[in-house]
Amino acid sequence: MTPIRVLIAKPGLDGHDRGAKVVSRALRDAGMEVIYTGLRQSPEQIVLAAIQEDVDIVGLSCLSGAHNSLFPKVVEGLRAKGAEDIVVFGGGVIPDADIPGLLAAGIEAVFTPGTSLEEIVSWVRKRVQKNHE
Amino acid sequence: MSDELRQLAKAISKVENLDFQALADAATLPLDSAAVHVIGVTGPPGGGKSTLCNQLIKELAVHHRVAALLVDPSSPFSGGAILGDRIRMQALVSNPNVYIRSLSNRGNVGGVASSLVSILRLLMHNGFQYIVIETVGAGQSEVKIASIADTTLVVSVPNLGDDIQAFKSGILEIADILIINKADLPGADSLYSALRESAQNPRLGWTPPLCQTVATEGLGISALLEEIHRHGHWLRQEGRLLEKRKRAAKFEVLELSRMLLQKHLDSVPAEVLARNLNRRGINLLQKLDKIYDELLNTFSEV
Amino acid sequence: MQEKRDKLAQWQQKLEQGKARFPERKAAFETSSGIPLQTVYTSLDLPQADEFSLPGEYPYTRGVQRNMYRGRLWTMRQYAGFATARESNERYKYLLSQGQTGLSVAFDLPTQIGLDSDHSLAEGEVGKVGVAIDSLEDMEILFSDIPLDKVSTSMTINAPAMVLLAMYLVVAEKQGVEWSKLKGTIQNDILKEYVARGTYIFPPEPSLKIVTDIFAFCADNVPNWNTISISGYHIREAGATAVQELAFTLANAICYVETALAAGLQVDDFAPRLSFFFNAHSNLFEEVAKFRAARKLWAEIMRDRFGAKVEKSLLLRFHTQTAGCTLTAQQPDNNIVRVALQALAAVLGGTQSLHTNSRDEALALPSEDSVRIALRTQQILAHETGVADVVDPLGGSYYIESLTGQIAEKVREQLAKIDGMGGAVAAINAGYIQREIQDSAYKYQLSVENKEQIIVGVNQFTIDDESQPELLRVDPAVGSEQKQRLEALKSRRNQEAVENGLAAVRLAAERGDNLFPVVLDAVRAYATLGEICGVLREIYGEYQAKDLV
Repeated sequence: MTPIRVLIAKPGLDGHDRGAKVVSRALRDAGMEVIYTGLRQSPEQIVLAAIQEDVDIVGLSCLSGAHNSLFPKVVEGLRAKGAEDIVVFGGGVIPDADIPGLLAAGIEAVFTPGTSLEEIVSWVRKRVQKNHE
Repeated sequence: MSDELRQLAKAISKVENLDFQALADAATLPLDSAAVHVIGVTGPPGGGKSTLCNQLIKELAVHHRVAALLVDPSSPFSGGAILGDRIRMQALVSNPNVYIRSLSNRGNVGGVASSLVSILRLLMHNGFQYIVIETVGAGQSEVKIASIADTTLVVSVPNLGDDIQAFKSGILEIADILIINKADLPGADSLYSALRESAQNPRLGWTPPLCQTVATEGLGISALLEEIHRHGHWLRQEGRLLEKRKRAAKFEVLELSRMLLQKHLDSVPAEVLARNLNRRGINLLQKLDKIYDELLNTFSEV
Repeated sequence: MQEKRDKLAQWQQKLEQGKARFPERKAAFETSSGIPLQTVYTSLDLPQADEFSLPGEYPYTRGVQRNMYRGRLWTMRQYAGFATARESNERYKYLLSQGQTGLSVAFDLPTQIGLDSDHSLAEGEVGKVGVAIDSLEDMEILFSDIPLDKVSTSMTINAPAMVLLAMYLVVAEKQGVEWSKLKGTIQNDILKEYVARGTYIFPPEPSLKIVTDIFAFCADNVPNWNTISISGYHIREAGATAVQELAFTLANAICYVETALAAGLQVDDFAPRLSFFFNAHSNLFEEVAKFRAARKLWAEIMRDRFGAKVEKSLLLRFHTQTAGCTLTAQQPDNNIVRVALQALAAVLGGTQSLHTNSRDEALALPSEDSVRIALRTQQILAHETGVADVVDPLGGSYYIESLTGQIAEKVREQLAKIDGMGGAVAAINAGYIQREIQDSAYKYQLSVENKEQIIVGVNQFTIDDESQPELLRVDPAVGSEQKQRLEALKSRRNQEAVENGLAAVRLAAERGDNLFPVVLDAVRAYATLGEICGVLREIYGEYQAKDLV
C-alpha cells in the first residue's frame, strides 16, 4: 500500500488555520502522509513545496476572501512547471457564487464550512486513486 | 532544472514505496563520492533540531547545493503521518540551491526510513554536495542515523530533567559532534559540565567537540559549521569516509531485506504464521537461514 | 445538612430506578469543557466561600459595578471595516446613526501584519477582512466627520498596534481633541497571535517590549485608553474549550503584567487599563459561569500574586463577541437565533461591551441588512427582555454557582501547569498551548462527525437545495485604488522628514528606548505602516511558527 501524499497549504495572509489543521489530522488518520506548510505562503512557495515533496494532491485553505486571486495561481504555477498531474482542491469561507470560477480555473473541488471530514477524506482518496489508474 | 527536480522527487517516492525497479536502478548509483558530505542530526524532541537544520542549510546553501531529508514518525494506528518539520524551513523553499523532502519513517523504529540510503544515492547522483538528515526525534533509540551519516550531530537542550541519564546512555555515544542548543537558557552550564566528560572521550581517533548554539538567533552556527568541516576533512583521510559509506551500503541491504521480509510476513495472518512455524517437518527459521546462506554465497564472491 | 443529604440520596435512588426503565438521552452529560453535569443541583453544591457575595465587591464574581446595567447598558459595538477608509467611514456613520454606541475597527490582513497595500504578499488581501490603512492619510479619512471625543473606538490590531494608535492620536490632534479625552481600546495582545490568530510579525521578546512601551506611554499621555484587550476570543475560535479559553487568556495576562513589572512599571499604574475580550459560545450556563469565574480569578491574581492595591486594578472588564465558529453556512437565518442566545449569555455574564455576529458571516463579510439585525438583537435584549434590570440575575443558582467554582478550579490547575513550564511564552515556544487547542478542535470535529454533537442544519435537520442570500462583495478594484493612493502620497510627502522619522525609529529600537514618541513623529511625517514595521523587522527579525499539527 502506497500512502497518498498531501500538501495542506495556507496561501496568503490569513491566520485562521483551525480548519487546515483539523483536515490535516483527519487525512493522517485515514492513512495519508500530510505535509503542512504553515501560514503565509505565496502561491510560488506552495508550487515549489508540492513539487519537492512529490505530493499527489494539494489542499488550499483560505478564510480571508483572497481565494479568487490566490487559488488559481497555484494551479497555474503547477502547470507552468509541468506538474499538472498534481490535483488541487480548496476550502474556506467561499461564497457559492465563486465556486464555478474556481472549478473552471482548475481547482477540482471546493469544500465550504459544514463539510464533513469524511466527505473530504473520501474525495481525496478517490481522486488520487483515479490519477494512479 | 525544475523538471530535473520533479524527476528526482518522483524517483525518491518510488524508492520510498519499495518499487523494485527503482531500488535496482538506485543501487547502480555510486555511494562513494567524497565530494558529498552526509550530515545526520538527531536528539530528543523539543531540542530545536529543525531550527538548527534550517540555519545549517541556509549557510551551506550560500555556495553549495544542499538536500534536506526530514523524517517524521508515522501513526501506529493509521500508518499516516503529519510531516511538519518543513514549517521551520519556509524561508528556504524558494532557494534554488536547496531541496527539501519530508519523509515518514513508515513505522520503522530507529528514527529514519528504511529506504534512506537508496535516497542518498539518488541525491548524490543529482549533484548535491551536502545532504542533511533530520531524524524523528522520538527519544533514545535513534542510533540508526550513525550507520548512514558521515557526521552525526547529537543535539541536546538544557532542562532535560531525568532524561539526561537516558540521553547519556542512549544516543550520546553515536555523536561525532555534540551540540547544546538553546544555550542561553538557564541550566545550560550544568548540561555543559555533564556532557564535557563524554565529549572528551576519543573514539577511533576522533574526539567529539562540544558546541553551543542558540539556533533561533543563529548563534554558534559558524563555529558548528567549522567543526562539521573539520570532521569532514578528518573523514577524508586514511579512507575513513569510504569505510563509513560501506557501512551505509551494508545498512541499506539489511534494512531493505528486513522491509521485504516484513512485506511478505504482513501478507500472512499472524496466528496462522505462529501455528505454522513448524510445518511438515520444516522449521521456518532454519529454512530462512539456509536460503540466506545460499543466496549470499552468490553475492559474497570476492 | 445531614437531613438534606438523606433526602437527596432517597431522591437519587428513585431517579436511578426511573432511569433503569427509561434511559436518558445520553450516557453522560457534560459541558463543552468536559465538566460532568449532575441531574440537578442543590444547596449542597454551593461553594462555601461565595455564600454571600455582592456585585462591585471583591472578588467581583457578580460584576465589576454595584448596579451594572441599571446605570448604563453595555456598549453595543459592532466590529466593522472593509475596502477603503472612505467606505468604512460611511459604514461607521451608518452604525452610529442606528444607535450603536461605540466603534470597532476591523483592519485588513496586510495592515494587521504591517505590510503596505503594494507589498507582493498583500496581493488579493487588500480591503478584504477589514479596512486597508497604509498611512496617516487613510486614518484621517477613516474618522472624518466622527468627533473622537464623542465616541469610544476599539481597534483590532496587535503586532503593529503602536503605529495604528499613533495614527489615531495624530488624527485626534488634528481634530483638536485632547488625548486625555480619548476613549477606546487597542487589542495589542500579541501572545494569542502565536497560538490562535496568526497575525504576528516579530518574535515574542521584542513584541512584549513594544506592548510594554505602549503601557508606559499611555499611562502618562492617554490615561483613559485601554492599552490592551487580552483576548480569549480567538483562542476559543481556534478550538479551545471554555476552560482553556479562560486559562490561556489569564496565562497571557500574567505574562503581560510580569513583563511590565520587569520593565520597572508599577502595577497600579497600568493594571487599571488592562481589559479583556472573551467569546460567548453556545453552552449558555457554562458561558455565564465562565465570565463569573474570570472576574473572580483575575481579582485573586491581581491582589494575591501581584499585590495590586487600587481597586480598579482588580476589576476584569471585558468585551464579548458571539462565537463566529458556531455560525453555519447552511440555513444562515438560524444564526440569528444562535447569536441571540450567545448574546444573552454575555449579558447574564456581565459584559462591558458586546459585538453580535451577523447571520451571513460563515459566507462572507456581513451585508448591511445582516449587521442591522445583529445590532437589533442587542437592542431587543437591552430594552425588551428585562435581563438588564437586575445585577447578576443567575447568581445564587445552585448550578451556576457550582459551575463557576468548578471552572475556576480547573483554570487554576491549568495555570499552575503553565507556571511550571516557565509561563506563557515558554509554553508557547514548547508548542504546548497550540497542541492543547488543536486537540480540542479535532475532538470537537470528530464529535460533530459522529453526531454526538448536533449542529442544526449541518448534521441534522438539513434541507436540500439551499440558495445563498445576497452577500457583500468587496470590489476587486480596491487593491489597485489603494495602491494608487499610496503611490500618490509617497510622491507628494516630504521625503526627508520621512527618512528622518524612520531613522529615529531605527535608533530607538537599537537602543531599546520607548518607541512610541519616535513612531508618533514618523506617523506625523506620513511614513507608512509598512515602512515603520519594515525598519522594526530588520532589527527584531520575524517570528517563525513553532506549531506542529
